[in-house]
Amino acid sequence: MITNINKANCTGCGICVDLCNMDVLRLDSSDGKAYIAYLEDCMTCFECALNCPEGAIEVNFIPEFTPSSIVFHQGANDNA
Amino acid sequence: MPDLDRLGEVIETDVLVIGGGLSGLWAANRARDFIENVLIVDKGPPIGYAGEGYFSGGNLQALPPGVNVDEYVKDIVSLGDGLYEQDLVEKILRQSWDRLEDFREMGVGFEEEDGKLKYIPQRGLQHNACYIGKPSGAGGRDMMRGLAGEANKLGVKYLSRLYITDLIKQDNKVIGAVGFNIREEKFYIFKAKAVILAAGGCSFRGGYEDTHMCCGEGIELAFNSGADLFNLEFITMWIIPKKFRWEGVTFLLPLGAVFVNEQGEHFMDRYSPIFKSNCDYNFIARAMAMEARAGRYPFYLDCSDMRPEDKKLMTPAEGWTALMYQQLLKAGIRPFEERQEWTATPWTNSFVYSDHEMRTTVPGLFVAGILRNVDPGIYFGGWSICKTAAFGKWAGESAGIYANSESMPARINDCNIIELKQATYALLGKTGIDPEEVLRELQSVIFPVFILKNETNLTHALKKVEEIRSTILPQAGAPDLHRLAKLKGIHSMVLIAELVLRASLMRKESRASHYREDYPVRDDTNWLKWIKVNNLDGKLNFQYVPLPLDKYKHKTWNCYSDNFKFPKQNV
Repeated sequence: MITNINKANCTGCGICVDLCNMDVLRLDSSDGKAYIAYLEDCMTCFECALNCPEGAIEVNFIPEFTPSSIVFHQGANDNA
Repeated sequence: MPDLDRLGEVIETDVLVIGGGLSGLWAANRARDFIENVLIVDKGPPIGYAGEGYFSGGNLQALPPGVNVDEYVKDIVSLGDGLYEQDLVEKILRQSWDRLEDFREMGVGFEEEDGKLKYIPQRGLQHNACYIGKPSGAGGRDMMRGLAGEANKLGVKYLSRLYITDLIKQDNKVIGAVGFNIREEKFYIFKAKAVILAAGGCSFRGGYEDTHMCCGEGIELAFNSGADLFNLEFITMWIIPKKFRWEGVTFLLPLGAVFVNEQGEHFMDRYSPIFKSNCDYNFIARAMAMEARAGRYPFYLDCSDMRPEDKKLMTPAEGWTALMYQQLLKAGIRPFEERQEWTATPWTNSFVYSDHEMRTTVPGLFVAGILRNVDPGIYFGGWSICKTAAFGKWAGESAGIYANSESMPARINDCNIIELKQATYALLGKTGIDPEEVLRELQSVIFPVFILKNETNLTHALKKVEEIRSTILPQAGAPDLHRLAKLKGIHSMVLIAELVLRASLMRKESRASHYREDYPVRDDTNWLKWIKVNNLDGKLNFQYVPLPLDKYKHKTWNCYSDNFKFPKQNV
């Protein structure tokens, strides 16, 4: 998931905001820079980090906020 | 009565394409061969970046020139335990090589070996050819770039961040759609001679990264307009690493990667001595669920025995997979050398029916891409991009020709649009339960019954889904447009979950991806038929449609599921 946008390096070009499939990122109206508006919807696609001209965005491979795989445990698939 | 213009921005187009992924672009580009104005709308990013295919490896099934199509069709029919539209599968395969050539002309790369394109057969079967996107990990991106480049040349128009909520139907025909911008409060009314749905399937926002956007809104739009859905009981499961993302497992398994349980046992060998780990993912997920029940979990993918040259071939070279791979190495995670924990998740499921020219059962409405179901839940690498290319092209052609014979709807019922607009924004600004909470509740109810189904757990899950619809959803709030779109997606998923559970209860046998613990035996006498459903005056209208064997070329087939040793005693 996205972990950080370095505000010092962000120029507010808006590329990351444009490219985010899940609409996680927005531009802050006060300083014109990108911020993480909806962290819970990040799908860890790395698109923002790959395309930031300033290298200001960090995405970590761990999909911490993607809860949605099957949790296998004993009895998990037994009758509810 | 107010003018339409006062309700929102009114846009007229000959053909409206809903969804800007691979198939939406194929469809739009092809429609331009027949008609002037083609517009794509997508809830996501600008042209060339939307949809699942962008994040895929760009691997592609194709029938090599000079190869007998019948053997390929027979292997696919066997994979689905017979429940296939054989003629459609043959039609897809017969044009598949041309699409591969189209992609190459657009500059998309494929791996070569000894001067020939290299392919790897899938799922332990002989007669299929999955061509390998190159550079590894960036094939889908390059396909999207190619198609978007063509679209721009052809003058296809495109609107992003636009969420379509309803199709407009008049005189029993689809004549447009309405939707809202997810970043500014702006309502849109589209008038169109033909509408192509290319909005992807429904992953219930499962954990496989490029399907996370797939809420099934296209399925809901089709259903609400009265179009037929089918194959709802056949959920497709996917397998993913637990602690990172991966693209390309479809080649790791045939190249020697194996699944092991906590005890280090190659457990798939017990479930299928023939295929072992190299089989359809639904069967791996089913084996995982059974192993877990016996206390033998978690599960790992072990790539260590792959040949060094194959590990190199599969190492992500460009794009997001390469960036992630570098991070993994930095964190001391070496996926090719040490076993990694893996699990299962629902993949993109789709259920819309159409004829073989992509006409749904509602005039004016066409379907493309993943949305058009073909398979009873099973999957094999490269098949999606093969199908989306075919369906996109055919839908574009059919819709283009149809639009040429239609005139622009002169008048749209304003009252109807006012109602749709009010319904769209009714939840906006309302405080209440966060949509994320509703989503997690829905997932926790339905995911556990997708693999091992029985009357008891399906009935219980159905009751829970009905509770979510009647008591939790009405309390959900959308403080902003982003959450409004999310909530709309959850509405779609709740509807689809109900249909999946009902169809799963109806099919009292096991076949392909559908496994009923209480009916584990395949029953060809009673169940060589599809379950179809549509919305008839607000009621669920289920119907059985027998497989038309008399008109099919192949009257008998081997059944893929016969190669597995899951319990086969009816309880």
